[in-house]
Amino acid sequence: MIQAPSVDWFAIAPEVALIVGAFTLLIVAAFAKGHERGLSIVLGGATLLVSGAFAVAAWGDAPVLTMADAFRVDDLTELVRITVALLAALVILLSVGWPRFREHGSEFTALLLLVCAGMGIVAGSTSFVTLFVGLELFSLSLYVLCAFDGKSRASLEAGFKYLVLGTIGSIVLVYGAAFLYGATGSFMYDDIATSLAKSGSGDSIVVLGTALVLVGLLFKVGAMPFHMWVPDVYQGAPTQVTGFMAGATKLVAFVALARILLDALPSQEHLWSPVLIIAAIVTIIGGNIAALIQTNVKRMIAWSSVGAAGYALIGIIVNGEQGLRGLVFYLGAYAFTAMGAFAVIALFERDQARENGHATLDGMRAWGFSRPFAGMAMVVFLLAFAGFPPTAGFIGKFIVSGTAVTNGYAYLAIIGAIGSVIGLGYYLRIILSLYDRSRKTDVGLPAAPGLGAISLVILLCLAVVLFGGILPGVLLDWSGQASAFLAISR
Amino acid sequence: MTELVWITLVLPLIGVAVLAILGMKLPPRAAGWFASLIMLAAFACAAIATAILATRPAEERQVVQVAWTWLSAGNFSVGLDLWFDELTAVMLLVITGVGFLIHVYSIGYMKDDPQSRRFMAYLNLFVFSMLVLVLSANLVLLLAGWGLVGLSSYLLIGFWHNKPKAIKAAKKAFIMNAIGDVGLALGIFLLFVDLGTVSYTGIFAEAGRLSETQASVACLLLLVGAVAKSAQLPLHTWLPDAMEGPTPISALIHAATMVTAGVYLIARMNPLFIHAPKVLDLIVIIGVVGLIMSGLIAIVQTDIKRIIAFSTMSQIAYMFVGVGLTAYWAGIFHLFTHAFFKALLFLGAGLVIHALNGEQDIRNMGGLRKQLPKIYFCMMIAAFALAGIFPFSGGFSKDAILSAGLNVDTTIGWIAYIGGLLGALLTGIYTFRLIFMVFHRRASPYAERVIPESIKHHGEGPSTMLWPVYILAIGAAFAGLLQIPGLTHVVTSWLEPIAPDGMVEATVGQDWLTTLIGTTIGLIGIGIAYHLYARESTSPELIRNGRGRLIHRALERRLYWDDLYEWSFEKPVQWASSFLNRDVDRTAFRWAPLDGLGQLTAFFGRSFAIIENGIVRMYALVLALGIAGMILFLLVRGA
Repeated sequence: MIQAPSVDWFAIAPEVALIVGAFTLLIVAAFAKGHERGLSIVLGGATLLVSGAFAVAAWGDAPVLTMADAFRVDDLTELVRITVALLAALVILLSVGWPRFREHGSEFTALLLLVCAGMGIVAGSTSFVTLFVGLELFSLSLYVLCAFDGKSRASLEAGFKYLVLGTIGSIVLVYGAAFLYGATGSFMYDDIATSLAKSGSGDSIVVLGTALVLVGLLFKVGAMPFHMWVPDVYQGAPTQVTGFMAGATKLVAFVALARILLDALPSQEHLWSPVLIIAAIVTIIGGNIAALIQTNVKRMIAWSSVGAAGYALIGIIVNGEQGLRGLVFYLGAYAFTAMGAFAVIALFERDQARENGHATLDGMRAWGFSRPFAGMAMVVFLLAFAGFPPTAGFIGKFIVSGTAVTNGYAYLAIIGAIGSVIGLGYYLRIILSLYDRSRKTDVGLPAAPGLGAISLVILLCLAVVLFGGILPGVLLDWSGQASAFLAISR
Repeated sequence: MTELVWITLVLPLIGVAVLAILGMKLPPRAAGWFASLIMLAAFACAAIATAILATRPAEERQVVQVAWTWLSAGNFSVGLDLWFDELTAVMLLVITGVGFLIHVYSIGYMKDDPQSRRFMAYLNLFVFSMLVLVLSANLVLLLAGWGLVGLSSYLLIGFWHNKPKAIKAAKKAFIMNAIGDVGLALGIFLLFVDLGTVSYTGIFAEAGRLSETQASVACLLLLVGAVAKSAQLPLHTWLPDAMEGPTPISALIHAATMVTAGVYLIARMNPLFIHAPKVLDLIVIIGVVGLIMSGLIAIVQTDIKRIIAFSTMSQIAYMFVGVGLTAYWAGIFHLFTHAFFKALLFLGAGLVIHALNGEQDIRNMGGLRKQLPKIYFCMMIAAFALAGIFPFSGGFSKDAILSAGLNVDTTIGWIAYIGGLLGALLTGIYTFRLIFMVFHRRASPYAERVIPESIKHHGEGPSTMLWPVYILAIGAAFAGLLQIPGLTHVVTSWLEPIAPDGMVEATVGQDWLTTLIGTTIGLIGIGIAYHLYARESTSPELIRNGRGRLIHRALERRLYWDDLYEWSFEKPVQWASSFLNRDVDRTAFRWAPLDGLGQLTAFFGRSFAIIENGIVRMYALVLALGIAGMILFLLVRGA
C-alpha cells in the first residue's frame, strides 16, 4: 500500500486557493449567464487577493519542505507567488474593456488562475516531477490564453506555434531529467547534487542529461538559440497575455533555471557556465539587433525581451549573493516595465479597434499627443528597458553589470552595454514615432472601452518602475532576502 | 523642530510642482504671489526652527536625522539625511528670507513678461536645490544639491532664451560649474576610498586618520568645486557673463546665496580642512589675489550689473580669506551681511534699470538722486555697507575677517591683512564711482529724456519692487550690530560649536584698530572716487585715455582671463575638430566603410528575419540544431 505523503496545507495554500477559485468561477459562471465580466473580475480578483495574502503572510518565515520534500516554500517562492498574482490582477484589469472578455471572461480568468497556480508550483519545486507538473499546468493554460482571441488569425497561430514548440521544449526537459535519473537514481535536486558530487562528472549520461535540461530551460526563458517561438507568440497573443508572459513566465522560468543549476547541478558548473556565457552574449546582441529592423512595436518589444533574458543570464553566471540578488531585482523590475509597455500598446489597439490597427511604428505616429499620459508613460518604460536612470531598469542593469565586473566577467558587462546602445536605436524610434510633430492633429480621441482600467494599470506600473529607480532600497532588500535561498542552499 | 526643517525643505518643492502642473492656468500675478507666500511660509518655519535650536544648550544643537536610506551597498550607504545646526540655520534664514523678498520683487519685475510663471517655478526650484545643498548630512546629497543649483542657475541665466548672449552665458556658467562638480565628485570618491564613509559625522570623526597628503588632495578637490561655484580664481569668468539673466536672479543666485556655497562648503568641512593647512593657506592666497583683481576690474566696468558682479567676486574672496584663516565665523558673518547689502545693490540697480527702460550703461545715467530719492537713499546704505564704513553692516564683518589676519600674525596673516586693506580701498573707489556716476553727475542726455516719462508712468517703481528694497536696506544698515567688538557677540557665540577644533578670534583691541584703519581707507577710496568721477571737470573718457591707459585696457578686458581660456581650450579644440572633420574624416576615412557599421548591424537584423519566417518547421529545425550543438559542445568539453 502506498503511503500518501503528509501535506503542509498552509504552505501550499496560495496554489490551493487559486485552483479552488478557478473551478468555483467556472461552476458559478455556468449558472449565471450574462454576468461573465462582473463575475470574472470579482471572483478572479478575490482569488488572487486570497492567494497573494497567504503568500504575504508567510513572507519571512523559515523555509518549509512539503509534499514528500518535493516542494519548497521559501521567500523566493513567496516572492514569485506575490509578483505573479499582482501581474495576473493587472491582466484582468487590462481585459475589462475587451469584447472577448465580455463573452468568455470566466474561462479566460479561470485559465489565468491556473497559470498562476502552475507558476507557484514551478517556483517552489525541488524535484523534476513537481517541476514538470507545474510547468505543464501553466504552459497548457498559457497556450490556450495565447489563442484566446479566436477571431484573430494571429492569435490562433500564436497559440498553435506555442503549443507545438513548447511541447518540444518540455519533452527535451523531461528527456534530460530522465537521463539524470538514470545517472543518479533520483528526481530530487538535492539527491542528484549529492550523488553527482560523489561520483564526479564526466559520465556522458550526466552530460547528456545536463545538456537537455539546459535546452529545455533556455527554451522557456526564451534565450537564443531557443528563442524562435518568442516573436511570433508575443506578437500574436492578446496583448495583456503578452505582457504577462514577458514578465511572469520569464521570472518563473529563471527561478526554475537557477534552482536546478544551483541546487541539482552545482557540480556541473564547468559545463553549464560556458553554455550560459555563450547564450547570454548571443542573446543580448542577437535579440537587440533583430529588434532593430522590426516595424511592429509588439514584435520589437518581443525581441527586446529576448535580449533582456540575456541580461538575466548574467546574474546566474556571476552567481553568489550579489549576482542572484541582481537577477531577482532585474526580473521583477522587468516584469512591471514590460507589463506597463504592453498596457500602453493595449490601449493603442483599443483606440484603433475600428480600423483594426496594429501597433506598428507607422500606425503609432503622433499618438503620444492624443494620449499624453500613456505616451509619457511609454517613454518612461522604454527608457527603463534601455536602462536609463531614474527607472528601475537602470538599477537592475547597473547591479547586474556591476557584479559582473567585480566578479571577473567584465566582458559580459561590455556586451550588455553594447546591447543597450543597440537597444536605444529602436526604443528611440518608438518615441520618435509617438511624438511625430508632422502628423500632429488636434482631434481628441474618444474614450476607449476600459480606458480607466488600462490607465490604472499604466499608472501602477509607472509607480513601480519609478519607485524602484529612485528608492531601490526596499525592493533591493526584498530581492536579496528572496535570492538568499538560492545562495544558501548551495 | 526637525518637522519644521522638513517642511522648510518640502515647501519650495510643492511650489515647483504646483506651478509646473497648474502654472499656465493661474493668472501670472497669482502665480507670483503663490510662489512668494510659499517662501514666506518656508522662512517662518526656518525662523521658528532656529529659535527652538537657540533654546537648546550648545552641545545639543547639532541635529542629524536619517529619513530614509536611498542606496546601501556594503558599508556604503547614502540617504536623505538632514543636518541641522547653527551654520545650517544661518544659511536657511538667508536663503528663505532673502529668497522671499526677491520672490516678491520678481512679481513686479516680471509683470510684463509672458513667461513669468515659468520664472517663478524656476525660482522655487532654485530655493529647493539650495536647501538640499545646505541641509544635507552627507556629501553625496550635497553633490546632488550642488548639481541642482547649477541646473537652476543655468535655467535662470538663460531664462530669456531668445537672447543669444544669455544662452551663451548660461552655457559658460554651466560648463565652468561642471568642472567644479567633477572636482567635488572626485574629492568625495577619494574621501570614500580613504575613510569609507561619505556622511559628515563619519568624516569628521575619522578625519584625524588621514595623512596630511591625503587630506590635502581631498581638500584640494573639494576646493575645485568651491572655487567654481563661488566664482573664484581661476574659474571665475562665468559670473560677470551671468548678469545676462534677469536682475532678481543676479541678486538671489549670483550674489546672496548660490555663489556663497563654496564658502559654506569650506566652513562646513572645517574639521577636514584643518588637517590640510597648506590648502587653507592656498584659500587665503586665492582670496587675496581674487579680491584685489576683481576690485581693480570693477573700477573700469561700465555696465552697472557687471560692476556689482565683480564686487560680488571680490566680497566672496573676502569670505574665502576668512574661512582660509580658520575664522569661519567671520567668513559666514560676512556671507550674512553681504546677502543683505549685495541683494540690495542688485535690486536697487534693477529699479534704476527699470526706470531707464532697460539701460545698463552707467555712462548713460547720472543725476538720478533727485528723480529717484528713495532708491538713492537705499543704494547709499548699501554702498556704505559695501565700502565697509563704520557702523554699516559690511564694515563689521569685513573688519572681522581682516583682524583675524592680524591676530594670526603669520606671513599669510599679514598678506591677508594688507591685501584686504588694499581691497577695501578699491572697494571704496568702485562702489562710489558707481554711486557718483549714476546719481550725482550731470544727467546724461539719455537719462534726461527717459526719466521724466518713466516717473510719470510708474513712479520710482511698483510697490512690490520697492518694499523688498526697504527691508533689505534695514538689514544692510543694522545687521552688523549683531557683533560689535567688545559689546555684542551673537555671531561668535552662535557659530562657535561648528568648529570643534576652534577658530580664530581677534582681540577687542585688534578689532577696533582694524575698524579704524578700514573705515579710514574706505573713506579715502570714496574721496578718490569723488575726485575722479563726481566732478564735472573730469570725464571717464579722459581717464580712459590718460596715463594709465594700457592698464585700463587690460582691466577692461578683465585681465585676459577669458582670452586665455579661449586660446588655450576653445580654439585648440575647434582647430582639432575641424582638422579631424575636414582632413581626416572626409579624406582618410572616405574609403573605409566606417559609415557601414550601422548598415552592418541592420544587415544582421535582416538575416535573423530570414530565419524568423513564421514557419514552425523552420523553428523546430533551428531548435533541433541548437540541441545537437549543445550536446556536442558539452560532450567535447565534458569528456
